[in-house]
Amino acid sequence: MTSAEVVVEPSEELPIARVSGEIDMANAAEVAAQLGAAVSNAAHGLVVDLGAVGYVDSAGLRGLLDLGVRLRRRGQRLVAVLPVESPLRRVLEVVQMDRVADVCATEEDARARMA
Amino acid sequence: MTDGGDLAWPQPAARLRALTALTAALADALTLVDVGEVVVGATVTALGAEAGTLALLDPDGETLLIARASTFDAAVFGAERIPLDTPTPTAEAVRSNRPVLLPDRETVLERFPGLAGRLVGFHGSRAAIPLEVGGRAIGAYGLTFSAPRDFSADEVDFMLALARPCAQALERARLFAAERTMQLRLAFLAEASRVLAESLDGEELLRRLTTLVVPQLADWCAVDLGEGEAARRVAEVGETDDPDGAVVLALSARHRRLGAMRIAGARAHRATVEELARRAALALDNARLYRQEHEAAETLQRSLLPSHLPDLPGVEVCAAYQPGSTALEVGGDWYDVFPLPGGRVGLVIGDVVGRGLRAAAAMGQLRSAVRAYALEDWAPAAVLEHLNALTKATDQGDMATLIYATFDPYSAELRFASAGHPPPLVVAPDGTARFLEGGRSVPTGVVSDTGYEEATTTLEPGATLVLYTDGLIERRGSTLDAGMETLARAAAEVPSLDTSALRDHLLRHQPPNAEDDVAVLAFRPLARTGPEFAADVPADPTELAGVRHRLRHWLEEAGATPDEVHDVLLACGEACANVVEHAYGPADASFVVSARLEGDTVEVDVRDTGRWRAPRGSERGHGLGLMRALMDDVAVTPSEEGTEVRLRRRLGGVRV
Repeated sequence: MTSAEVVVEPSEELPIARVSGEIDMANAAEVAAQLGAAVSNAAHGLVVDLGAVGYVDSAGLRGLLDLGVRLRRRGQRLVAVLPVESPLRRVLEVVQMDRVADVCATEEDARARMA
Repeated sequence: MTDGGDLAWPQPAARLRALTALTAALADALTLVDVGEVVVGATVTALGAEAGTLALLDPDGETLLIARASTFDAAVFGAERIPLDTPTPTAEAVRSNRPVLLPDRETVLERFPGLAGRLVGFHGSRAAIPLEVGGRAIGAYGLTFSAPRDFSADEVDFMLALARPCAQALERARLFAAERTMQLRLAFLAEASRVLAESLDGEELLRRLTTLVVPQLADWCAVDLGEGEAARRVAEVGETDDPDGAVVLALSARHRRLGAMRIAGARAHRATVEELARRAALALDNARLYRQEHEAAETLQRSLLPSHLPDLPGVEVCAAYQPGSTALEVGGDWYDVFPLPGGRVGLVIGDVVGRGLRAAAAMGQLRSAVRAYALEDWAPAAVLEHLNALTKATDQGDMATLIYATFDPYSAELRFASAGHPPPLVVAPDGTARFLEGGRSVPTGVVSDTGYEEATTTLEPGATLVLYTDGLIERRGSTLDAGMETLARAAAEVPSLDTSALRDHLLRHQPPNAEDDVAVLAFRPLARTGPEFAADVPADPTELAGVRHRLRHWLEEAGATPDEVHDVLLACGEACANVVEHAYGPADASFVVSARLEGDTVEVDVRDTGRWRAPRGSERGHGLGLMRALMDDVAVTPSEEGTEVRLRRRLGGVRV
């Protein structure tokens, strides 16, 4: 069974959700739900740190893309954090994640982007 | 005094003849027994005596060894011993260094009343003449005449004249005997020392010692190691009726009592046996010290070598270290294998010049230093340059020969630099063997600021690279070239063996008299045709993680880099997700995932036999797009039986 863990650092303005494990069709919906619940209406957006994610398939990506679209409609922004050397980078490029989210290398970059 | 009438004392001419004959006879007599025989026989004859005796002063200065003409026998010499102070004519002659002349029975009894019991029926006369050398009596000869005899000054002069050459001959024989004894003793001890030096194994040494003692020195010899209850008999030779009565000699060296040597039926001087025991103990202790040093060095050596080699995908590697076969030396040989960035492999073989603990310790430092430079990803020549600079800078002065090589499994390129080390051997899959002669420079630790050469070659899959230290090719009385030729031949005999069997085969071909230690490393890139991967997977989302896990392991074994593993897993995962998503009911449907290597390309098939709820191509997600982006080739083949997705990706084609 595929497992992933989402740990949220709550914040009024910019909550950070740190995801670890693997995301595929078995748990993509669950992960997307946890990420969506982490953002209050008052927040500027959500930082999703994917640095500890070893695998994310199209279902998981779909969840992220949907979240990005939803936040954008609410005037909020989604920022994905992924180290430069991660193989997931290319995957984000393939699905054109940058249309709905910013992609940063570190959480610091993400905060700076939102400031 | 009268002439006695019946006694015919020789006239001057006859005396001269007698003296000449005596001198000639003595000249031919070499041993003490020979000389004694001549002395007694010649004096009795020359003087017309009835019997003669010879007394020789023992080296202790207190005992006389007596020989008698009537019973004279070589073996008897010394069998009769009397104290020097015994009241007899010959003893008195030795004591006083003057002739003792006893013209008749009465005079004998008067001067030596103790002899009364032995003079029954004796009515003659006696004389005892000292044998003088350098103003000192070394003995005396005695004569017994059957009639009373008046000894004239002339006659005494003649007896003294006879004594002179006898004395000199006896002294000469005595010195000769002493020297001969000393020579034999020294020869024996020299032989013992040689035997003791032949082995560094304590017990073996003692066994040899006992066979030297018996039968040369004694009838029986046994050696015990340890003391008291812990004593253990390690050697015993010969036979004795009385082992408890044996002479016991302690084996002690450097203030340690190591054991005891027991000898029965000894035929040698005590001093000889004691000296032997002393030397044996020293040799034994040296063997112990040597063994300690040897074991410490070997322990250190082994502790500094890799305890196991890394399990690297796509290559086979093994190594071995073997200390010198005659146990004479443990050296600073080492090997090392470690992964480098980009899926490459670092290989090291080296040999610190020198032996023992110091070389082993130096080896440990060099091994760490090579690793450190290698992991910073310096090229082989640069690693050697850094190492050389470090060695010169730290002033350790330890010269070393080594080879550092890197192998890239994707390009099959072997890049290597040698610091004065024997050339690497490459054995092709067909058994053709060749040495890599390029990339050679001087050993490290010799010249400051020297440059190092580097060379490259291709190591095709299935070919074996053999790195070794000179112990594998060095053979006494033979050239290195001959050793290398032998090695190449041995390696070519068995190209199909796996690397560990090849390594063992090469170690067996080591020169038989090799004393040097040996390190060998065998490295082989594997042909990319590993076992096929196959999995029958229930069409259930929760099954996907398990398939990925197994396929990940297979890909790593096949030599895929982490990025390649990720990409293939994701592409395959998308294909699997499609099957699960589109299968009718998850209850009993299943599909098959298989993978194989075709040359350097990995090929993954995902086949299902299920029915489709909807035709493919209606997917709303990015599955197919991801597959196409990540794979070199994606083929989807629908058929009546189901759908097959074939994914192909060349390994090594795209790397960060």
